[in-house]
Amino acid sequence: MGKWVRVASVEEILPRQPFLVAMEDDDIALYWINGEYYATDDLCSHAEASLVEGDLEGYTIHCPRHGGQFDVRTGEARHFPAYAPIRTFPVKQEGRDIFIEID
Amino acid sequence: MASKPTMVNEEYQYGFNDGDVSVLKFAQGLRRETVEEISRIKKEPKWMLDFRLHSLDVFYKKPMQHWGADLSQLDFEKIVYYVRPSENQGRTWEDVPKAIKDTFERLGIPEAEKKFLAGVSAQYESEVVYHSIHKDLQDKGIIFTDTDSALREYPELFREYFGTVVPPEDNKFAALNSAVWSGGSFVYIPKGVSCDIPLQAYFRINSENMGQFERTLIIAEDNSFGHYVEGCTAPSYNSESLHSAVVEILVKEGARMRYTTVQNWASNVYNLVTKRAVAYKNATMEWVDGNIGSKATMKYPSVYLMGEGARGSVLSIAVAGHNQHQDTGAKMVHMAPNTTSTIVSKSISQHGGKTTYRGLVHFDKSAIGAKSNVKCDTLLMDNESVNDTVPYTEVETSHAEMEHEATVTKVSEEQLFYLTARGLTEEEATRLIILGFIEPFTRELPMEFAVEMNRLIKFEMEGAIG
Amino acid sequence: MSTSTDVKWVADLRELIALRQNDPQWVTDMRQHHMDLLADLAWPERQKTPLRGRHLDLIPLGFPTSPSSVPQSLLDTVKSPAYIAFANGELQELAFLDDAARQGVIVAPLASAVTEQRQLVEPLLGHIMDEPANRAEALNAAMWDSGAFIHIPADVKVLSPILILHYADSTRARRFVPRTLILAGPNSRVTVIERYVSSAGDEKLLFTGGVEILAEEGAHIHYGSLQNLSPNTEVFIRRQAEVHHDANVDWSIGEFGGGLTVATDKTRLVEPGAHSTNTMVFFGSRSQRQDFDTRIIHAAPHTNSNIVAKGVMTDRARSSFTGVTDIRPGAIQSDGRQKEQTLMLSDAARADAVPSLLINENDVYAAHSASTGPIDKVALFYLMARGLSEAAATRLFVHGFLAPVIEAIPLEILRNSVWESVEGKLAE
Repeated sequence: MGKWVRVASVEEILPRQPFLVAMEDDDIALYWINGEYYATDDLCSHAEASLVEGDLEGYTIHCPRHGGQFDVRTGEARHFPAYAPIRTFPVKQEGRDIFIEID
Repeated sequence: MASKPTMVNEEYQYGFNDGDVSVLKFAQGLRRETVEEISRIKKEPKWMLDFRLHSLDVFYKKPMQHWGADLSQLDFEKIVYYVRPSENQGRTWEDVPKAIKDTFERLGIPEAEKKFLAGVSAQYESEVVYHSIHKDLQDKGIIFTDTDSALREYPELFREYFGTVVPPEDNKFAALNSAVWSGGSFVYIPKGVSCDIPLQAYFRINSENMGQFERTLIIAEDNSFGHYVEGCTAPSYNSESLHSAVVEILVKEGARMRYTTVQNWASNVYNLVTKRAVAYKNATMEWVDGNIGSKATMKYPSVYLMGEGARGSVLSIAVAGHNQHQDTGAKMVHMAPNTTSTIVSKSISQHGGKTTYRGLVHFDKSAIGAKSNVKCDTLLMDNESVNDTVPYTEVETSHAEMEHEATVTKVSEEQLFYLTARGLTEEEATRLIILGFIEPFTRELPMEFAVEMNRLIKFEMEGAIG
Repeated sequence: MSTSTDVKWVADLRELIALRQNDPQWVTDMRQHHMDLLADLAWPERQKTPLRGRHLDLIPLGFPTSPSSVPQSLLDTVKSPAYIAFANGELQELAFLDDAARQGVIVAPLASAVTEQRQLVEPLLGHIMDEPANRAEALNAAMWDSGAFIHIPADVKVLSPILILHYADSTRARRFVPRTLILAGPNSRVTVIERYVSSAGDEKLLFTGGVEILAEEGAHIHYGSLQNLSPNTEVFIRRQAEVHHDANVDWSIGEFGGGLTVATDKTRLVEPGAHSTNTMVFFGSRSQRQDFDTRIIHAAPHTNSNIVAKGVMTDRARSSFTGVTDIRPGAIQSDGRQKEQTLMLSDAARADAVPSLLINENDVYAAHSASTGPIDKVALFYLMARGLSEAAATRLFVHGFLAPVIEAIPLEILRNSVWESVEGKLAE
């Protein structure tokens, strides 16, 4: 059963600008696209580069290291050389706070 | 091949050039204007120009890698990035300029075509000079042309697949190729079609400081079959030459594709290549890769096994002589159940040469029932020659099996003794042992290449003993 | 990764060094020198094991360690006439054989040997190992407190194994820093087994251990190490041996504990006839992360080595094993081999391996083999069809997998302890 952890305030997250959240065991990338929040692993499944340093195009995050791409809604790899999916996490907003659900 | 002279010493047999035949040659160095001019001359659509310029940005930003062969003497400013030798693409031999035809005669192309080939697209400098396709290929709907023509003649098909397997960000040399690519082959095999005759291409580097940036794209639709053969020679120069190619291959459901390379680069060439194939459900991809010579080669043919039952194999040999470094290997990525991969790598280091095997086998969580087998063997011919064997394995599932074996040794004294006791000279015995060592590779080559391969080995081995 | 000296415990540790009563000046100087180095060193960089999320700099290493004692149940396992036991960095018990003492064998806490055996210890301590290259190694060199100095004089053969037991109570300590130095004189024979145990706790315990071994001409040392540290312990361990003419160093290493384990084993075969085998068993469970780097360097002709590693991975554990057989120019007629096998018991586990051969001499033989796979399905089905539960069948299979390596450990005490550790993991 997961628990909800407060990770940021609404003011900190800019539209279409990936935001890094450093958790206990993992780093997580938070996105705000078209009024909705999404969260994925920050580490690319291909060679563990940081995705928040990449560009966001629509719902696709581009990994800056080797050009892999992922859909931030599902975590699916959309372009080689990325081939394995990344995890996604449920996100909710309560008041001015953003929460992510993690195990 | 009776007309070919025998080799007498270590001079590179094909070490000639035609003076400078190029009609249009750019200045050295890489500028934004160079890229724009290339695209303009080729009359490319805007999306390709944008792609090239974006790739150039990526190339500038990416640092040089600090692993693999030593590239410290590679000076990007001293390379010419584009040369076009003639105005039009020739349709038959008669149309091709004589000096160029002479080069091809010396390289043995007419004979080869007579015996084995369906069609040849030959790249001289950066453009395709001669190209013809046999009628039955055309009737089957098989497209075999140079990449520039494919962009013009099949724009939707081209755009759908180009850059999808190797994006410009993949590595610095893929970015460079993506910015200045010219020539290479485009192959499309429709569903269910079997192309039984190997499709071949020759190309060479001629000008001083010439870079070769061909881009090959191969699409094998469901249940099709094809075999593409690539082989090349290059004349000797004092200053550095750079060969930075990208090969992208898609093997769709049930299809089978084999890509054979026999490369014999002169000792001033940097040969840095990205070769990657994606194999879907029940598809098979086979790389047969022979690398001899070059100052430094970095090449890791890969197969991404994305669909259930996909199969990938790499069969490679690498021979490094004096002042040469072959840093080669393979990558197999298992992303689906019941996928299998095989890597067989044979390396020979001699006269102080260095070979490095660098490979990766990755089993994703989803690779249930996957199997991989890797065998790498190295022969060190003398006490100056060296080898590193560095295989990476990554296993994320309990339902897959992986086996790997490697050996590094010198030529077996027992075998030598056995053969010399039967009347062979030590040199003959050594050569026989080497041929036996690489036999798993040569037996997979089309005969023409097997003959050339054995001859190349003989040439390389001369002076290896004593 | 921060390398600045504004990490609070740096100042705390310097104070602790100054407060130590019994260190001779040469040791105090050595400690301060390594604290100086530490300021500019980062935690180890291992490609497959990023340390960013472990927050190692946040462990308050300056926290004063309170005394503890080795639990009786653990002491009871030490069934050897020669042993030395430490709890929370202090000597608790020392037992020794009269025979051996008469022959000049020394088994003493390193902390007193630096004074009493200075002429033997000073030339060796820190000189067999390479200079510290990262923060964990520098910490061990600066802050070691417990551990043994063992000297076997020429031609002496010690028949009973010498056991070194290290225990830490993680509710009363934040750092655990043992250091052992073994000198085996020409033609001597000895078996040394070192075991590390810590109690579970809520706070992180930093373990950084070091072992140096010198095998002089003709000496044979068998060194066994068993690591059963608690899940809240972050483990960094470095072991290095130098092997001389016709000498042998055989390692038997069992790595079972720790939340994070980063282990480096290096053996240098420096004279002809030097020989080493390195046998490792590791078992990753829960969310353990293990990173092993085992290398054997052939720096002389006619040297032999063999690395054999067997790992079992379950739950969500991740391991990375790098084995390096490094044959240098001139090491003619050498033979270096490696065999690694990993058994995967779960789908969330991950095992990476890089068995490498770096060969710079041609008149040699070098080979490695590696394999990874699950329990054979047919065998499992067979056992379950005969009434065994899946857990019992798995247990049997793991036993069969590890037996060739564990049974080859020529020491019953260590064998039994390793099997117990395996059972403990299977029962988790």
